[in-house]
Amino acid sequence: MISLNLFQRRSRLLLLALLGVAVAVWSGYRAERRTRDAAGAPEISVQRMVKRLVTPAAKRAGTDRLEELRQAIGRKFPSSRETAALWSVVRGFSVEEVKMALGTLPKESDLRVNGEIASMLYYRWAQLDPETAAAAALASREIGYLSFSAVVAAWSQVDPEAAIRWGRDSGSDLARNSVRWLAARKWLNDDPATAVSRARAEFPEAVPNVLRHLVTMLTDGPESRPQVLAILAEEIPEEERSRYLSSLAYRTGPLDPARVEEIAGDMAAAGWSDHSIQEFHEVLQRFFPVQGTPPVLERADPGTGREDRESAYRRWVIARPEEALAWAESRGEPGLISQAVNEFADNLLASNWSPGREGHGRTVDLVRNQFAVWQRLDAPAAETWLATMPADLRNQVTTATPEDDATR
Amino acid sequence: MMPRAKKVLSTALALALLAGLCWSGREAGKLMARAGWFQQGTAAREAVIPGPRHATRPDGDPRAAAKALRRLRFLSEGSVFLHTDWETLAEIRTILAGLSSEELAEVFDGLEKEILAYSGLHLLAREVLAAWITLDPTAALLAANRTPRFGAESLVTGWAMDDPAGALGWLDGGEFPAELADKRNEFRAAALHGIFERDFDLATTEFLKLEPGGDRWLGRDGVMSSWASRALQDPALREQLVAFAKTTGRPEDHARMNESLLRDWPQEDALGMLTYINDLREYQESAAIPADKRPEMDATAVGVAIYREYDRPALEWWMERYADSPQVPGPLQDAMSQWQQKYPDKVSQWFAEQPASPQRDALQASLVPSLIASGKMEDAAQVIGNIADPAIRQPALERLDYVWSRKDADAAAEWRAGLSEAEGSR
Repeated sequence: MISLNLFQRRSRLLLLALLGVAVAVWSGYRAERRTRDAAGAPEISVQRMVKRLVTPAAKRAGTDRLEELRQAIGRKFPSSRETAALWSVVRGFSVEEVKMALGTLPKESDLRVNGEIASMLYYRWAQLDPETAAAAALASREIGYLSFSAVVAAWSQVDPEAAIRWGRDSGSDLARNSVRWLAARKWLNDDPATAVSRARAEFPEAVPNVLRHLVTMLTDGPESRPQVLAILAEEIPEEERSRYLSSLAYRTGPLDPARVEEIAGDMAAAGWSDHSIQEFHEVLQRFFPVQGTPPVLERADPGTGREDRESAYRRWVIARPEEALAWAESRGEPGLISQAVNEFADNLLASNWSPGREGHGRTVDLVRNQFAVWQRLDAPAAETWLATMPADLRNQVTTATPEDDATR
Repeated sequence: MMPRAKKVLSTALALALLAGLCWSGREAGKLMARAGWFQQGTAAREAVIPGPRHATRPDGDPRAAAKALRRLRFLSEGSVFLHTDWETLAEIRTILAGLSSEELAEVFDGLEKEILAYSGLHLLAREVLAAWITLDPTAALLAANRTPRFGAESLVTGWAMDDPAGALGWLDGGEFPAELADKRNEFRAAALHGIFERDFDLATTEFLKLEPGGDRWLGRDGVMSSWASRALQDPALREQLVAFAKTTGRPEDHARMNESLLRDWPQEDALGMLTYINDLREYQESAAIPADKRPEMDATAVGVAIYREYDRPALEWWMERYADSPQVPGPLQDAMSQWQQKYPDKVSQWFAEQPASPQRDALQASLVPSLIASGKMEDAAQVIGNIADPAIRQPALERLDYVWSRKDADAAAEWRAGLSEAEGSR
């Protein structure tokens, strides 16, 4: 009798223990499902739950709606209609609502929707109370670039000077960087003539931004150009000009060539050195290669260096292989071709390329096509060169379509 | 006294055991959730996003476009970061929603004249195009296509997110312009980037229309890769995608998906990853892959397994199948050299354990180019020394000789002298 009783007690205990484990499994499963659900579960704390209970429904409507939208977008990359829906809710928030919504946004989430919402919330906060918003954005550890630029965007609409001062003195690189452009734009807008000296005095880090912005103003129109060029010539030492010339080339490249020439002419008139102007043209040619034969190849002048011609040809081959090759063949220039083939082959062999590996197909094609023409122009020389090549490359050059054979 | 202490102790032990069991149970529950157990499908949430607003405005103002352009420029130039200037952006979109297709064309024309010179207006131009595409896709995309910087493809992605039927209807419809004929495949891929998270069934139908190949973003492979990495966080969607990739009739699709999935699989979902790898092995061994594509597909799968540090079991599986082959497909060459760069000792250890075989030699030879590229000539020489098959050793030898002689003629000559000495004493 006693033993039966004991047995019953044991089995009851065992059953209880099993039940406990089952509940534990289920709770773990539920909890994880919840955090992994859609856009991530909102953060919870007792304080927040109590606060939620005492807040009247009408005051909760905004944040509830935001949460509803957030979950509906979920893991998806928000579409522009969805983004618009999010902002239509956030734009009416009070500071209280902003704080409430920021508090419940999942912290450990890199989902785009959460980043966008955080950005909107900080933006709205900055509209209402920029200084507190900016301080909060800085203090929050998981703050992304999206949120910071939102604070600056909103603040600069009402008081750019305050935003600049705050960012400059914030002690944060992110904050300083995000107001450098703002400072450059603002001061150039106020007075281009004094912008550089102002930046030097108030915010030296922003000087390069001011100069770069000035460079882009060269394309605005011919009226302001002489003044801008004069400032630039005075403010940028000759040896630092290259950096800014590439910005300029990037901006002017897509313009009508006549307008580019006009700018170059104005540069000369404003006292820019021939060296700078030539460099401007070179950078331009590098970023936006002109169609047709590079001038250096057409120059009959014997003074033109062999190396200049070779490197011009190589660049042309990389940019427009068929065009360059057709030109070299019609002109009978085996020297240029052999030099290019050799250079490309050397690069290929010293890289991690091997037959069958992706990623170098273009260079292999260049070698193969150039070699074929070289063979037509000067077969003995081409064959001799090929014999000196390692087997890996030799096989690639002589097989018709080696890329089909994807193995070594 | 004694029995009491014993009882207390045993109760405490039992309780501790129970607590341990509960804790493990809870962790197991989490693992099950991460692996997507008991999850039939992604719950469709109610569509709470309002549709597009149809703006009303008094008709017949011939200067509407010019006025809009002036206002838009003012807004755009007054904003320091337009992409996070939410209120300004909303205002811009409201203005654009009130314009007709012809007016949008006029606004864009006005912007395009200076757009290239002044990139501050670049974002604004994209907004104009995004509004225009919903009214007259042909005109908007022809305009966007004039300049690569406007990203005609990403406009299609954005459009397809909000209006998949409209975007796909246009792609397949008679209105599609002949000038963009060679862009059709890229546009479809772009549309898929906007759809695959939103409508699985539609995405599968459209995916099958894509041509094979293409670039890493706008080709069939690119779409599959991004699809897989987006599906990774959602077990139900992931399962659907894995099942679909097996049925496309093109094993490369599955290989691409597998690569993307395994590479990004979260570390904390060990259970899901293990289940997946078992399933993968089954697939690789099944008849779904035609014989001629098998080495390449197997190599791709093994390569990514090596990347995920599942190297030994994966390579063991590979050697069982390919020990007699003197060929190493490209993806495995890549994986082996990356593995070698990361764990040189582990890799030489593995090679030392392998019985001699053509595949062992070929795998060693595949390490040579990367070693040369990173300047480790001595290491390359050592690897070459371990290759038994002369037909496999010779090309590797020639390659090293060529590059090393150009980099450091003396060291290379010394190595060659050592080589012929070894040959002589053999």
